Amino acid sequence: MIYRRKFVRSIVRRFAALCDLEINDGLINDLERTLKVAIVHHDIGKLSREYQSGEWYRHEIIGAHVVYNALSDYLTDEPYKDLLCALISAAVYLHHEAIQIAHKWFKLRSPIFEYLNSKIGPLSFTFEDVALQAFEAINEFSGLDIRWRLPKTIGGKEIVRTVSNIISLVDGMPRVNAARLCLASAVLLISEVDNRAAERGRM
Amino acid sequence: MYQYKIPSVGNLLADALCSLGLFKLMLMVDPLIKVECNLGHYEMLRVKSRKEPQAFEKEILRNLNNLVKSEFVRQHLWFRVNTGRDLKPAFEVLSDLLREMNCFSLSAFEPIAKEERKGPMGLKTFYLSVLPVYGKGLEEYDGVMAGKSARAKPEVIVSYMIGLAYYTICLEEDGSRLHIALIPPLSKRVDGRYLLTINRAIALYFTEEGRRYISGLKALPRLTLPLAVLAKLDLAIIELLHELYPPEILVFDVERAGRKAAETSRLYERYNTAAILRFFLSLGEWMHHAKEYVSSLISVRGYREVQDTELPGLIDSILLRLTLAIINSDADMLNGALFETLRLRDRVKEDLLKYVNRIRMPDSKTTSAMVKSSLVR
Repeated sequence: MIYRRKFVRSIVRRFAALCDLEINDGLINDLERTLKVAIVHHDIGKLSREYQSGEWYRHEIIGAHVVYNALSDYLTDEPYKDLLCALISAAVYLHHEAIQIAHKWFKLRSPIFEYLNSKIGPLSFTFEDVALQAFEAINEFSGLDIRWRLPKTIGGKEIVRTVSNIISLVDGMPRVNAARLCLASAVLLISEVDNRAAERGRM
Repeated sequence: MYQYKIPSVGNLLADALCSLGLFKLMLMVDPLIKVECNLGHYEMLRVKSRKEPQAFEKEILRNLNNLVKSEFVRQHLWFRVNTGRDLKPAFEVLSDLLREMNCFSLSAFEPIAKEERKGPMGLKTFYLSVLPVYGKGLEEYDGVMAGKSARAKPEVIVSYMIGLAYYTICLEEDGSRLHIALIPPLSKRVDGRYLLTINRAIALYFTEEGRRYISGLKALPRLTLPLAVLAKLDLAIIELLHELYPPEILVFDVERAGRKAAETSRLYERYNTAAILRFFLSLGEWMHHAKEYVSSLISVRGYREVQDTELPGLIDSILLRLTLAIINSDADMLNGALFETLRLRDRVKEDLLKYVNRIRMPDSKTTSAMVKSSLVR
């Protein structure tokens, strides 16, 4: 309830302003479902073998890829589907940006993308059986009917392609400020959830 | 959903820039439009929108009126247009056209005509300083320029000028104004995502760093322009453009000093980017370093301090070799270009050494990856 009152309303309002849409129950419902997917799967990259073994820490880029593909399958064919998938996946991609800025890891920011892609392109990420089962269990527990299955291996090039799509859609928007506001609201929500989860994990 | 079909205006350059300009305008009104662009086809643009025609056209005109007052349009349409009576900045010509328009009709798109000034009603002159190659694509070429001018509906001219402002890189060379446009390939159907990617690619040149980079492109051998333009794009754009269709680069110049405004005096060239995109992509993780190398060459040749020295000429020859090596899959020539870059330190005067040192030479791993990639056909 708190997250609905505090975050979803403003995200809906900003998304509607961005796309010139009327706010109705269908739009609110779609955004709630989308945000739910992003919230439960934003850290899915942490389940990869490479993250677990400490070879790769930037789990958010894997999370963005997974959320984008899951959402593309999950959402109905509304005219705003592509843009909504891209915006929410971009929020997953950026949910650790505040930490990067705080630590002055500016190399990881813009032109972060170029740098990251040259690093991630030749890699691949593997999910063990237990991770695949966890993905399904999270979906079931959260009541998400996602048909898209987490693959055993995700290639770096696939991730690059997904992030390309996300960036082209979000960055090419003519209403730049409206897009930024909407993205920032979504990032705030995911960061908040991430922080709370981290606090609980430390307890 | 309403469907809008925009027919070709009978000239590839005008088709490309009108499509891109119109796409920009339509996207501002309805960010959720579905677009298909097919240059060279009778219908160059197909758009599906939730907006009904009257409201859509009204909103386009409203956005145009706002755009024309923006600093961006004034900065990018700064050049003067010879109207036959006076010389006016292009943004003023655009404002004048808009002032006379009561509505923006999407059904106004039709082939550009070559008519006398007292030709059909409702047509406006498409000035030579705006569309420099108007004779091409017309059925009859009159051989002389006197009398007739290119004439089109204001909607066509306005969309073209918005395309010119938002989708071209403009270089000012000795007495001429060179425009570089990244356009979708001829007779391939591309969607809105492709046009957004092109938009993003060109927007990289509108930043402060991009503007500095543009100064390095001045007077560059034109064959090397695709390499120079693509070296600045990020991997996401290169990947996406290669995955969909390699775009084409249109280079055209306007107002060449000392020449008459005849067709043959004008530059109008098209370059395919497939070979260069393939080269960059096959570099894999070394792509970033190779792009840094090429873009540092361009940046150094653009420094004001090195103009009128031997350095820009030497860099041009390296870039030419690089381009030819990539286009012809010639590893020997690529090696030659890399070797020439290393030799730059010995070939320039001592006071230029500090600039040569700013060239980011590829390390041995990048070099071997580049040579290997040049063999990929």
